Amino acid sequence: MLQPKLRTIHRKTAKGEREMSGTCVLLMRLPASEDEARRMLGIIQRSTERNSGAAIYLLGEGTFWAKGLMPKRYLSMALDSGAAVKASRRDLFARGISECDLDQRISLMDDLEGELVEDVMGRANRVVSW
Amino acid sequence: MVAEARKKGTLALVLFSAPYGNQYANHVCNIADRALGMGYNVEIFLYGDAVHAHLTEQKPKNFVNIGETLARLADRGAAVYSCLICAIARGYIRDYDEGRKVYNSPITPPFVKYVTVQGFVNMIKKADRIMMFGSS
Repeated sequence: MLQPKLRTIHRKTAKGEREMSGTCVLLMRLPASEDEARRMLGIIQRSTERNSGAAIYLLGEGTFWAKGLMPKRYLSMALDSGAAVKASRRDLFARGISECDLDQRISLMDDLEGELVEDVMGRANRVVSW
Repeated sequence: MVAEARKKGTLALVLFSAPYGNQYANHVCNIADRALGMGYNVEIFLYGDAVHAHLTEQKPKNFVNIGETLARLADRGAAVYSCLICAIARGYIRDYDEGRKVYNSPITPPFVKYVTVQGFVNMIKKADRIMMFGSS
């Protein structure tokens, strides 16, 4: 099993908020296999090693990462390593995934696209999408 | 306003998938909408089957009309480019004169600019961030 080595450095802003810098990973579909999940996570891992951190965005079908058995395990590993995970509340509920199904460390966003644009354009220096 | 958006930054969105079979085109439109709302310059490139997305005459029954959404985004300042070669291959362009770079495409809406791969390269060069959606 892949041992995650993700690290995320969050700088504190003047307001005391955590600010992400590094790589944004946008997941819009499930991995087709465990190999692919490993590859997707591997990209996160390599990106975070080169930069200062990673945030994962679950959008559309990508919200199934939060529920599916195998993807959820990989997502947990990313969370354990300190990557921030943000999911679209609208897309989760549209797919019948309730809040109680989720890892509590996942942040639910009412406007994930807006959050993503802010992070991609303002804070991150790299974006990977699947 | 355009100059201000350029100063703030340019987001390039590249779509590879046809609309309606999946949500990639919707994601592109939603992200472009938010980026324009925040004052960023947005450029969208449609490649491969994604060239079908710019058709405004499609009548999806239960989905957002992607062609009309792209038209509204273009009205707000987004640039919408379509791959010329992909459009020729899919029957959107008639009477293409390669020497004079002149083409006739009665079904292409006016907000779409056809470009070659060179146009794609130019877009990438200008962009501060690039996001890719779907697969061909």
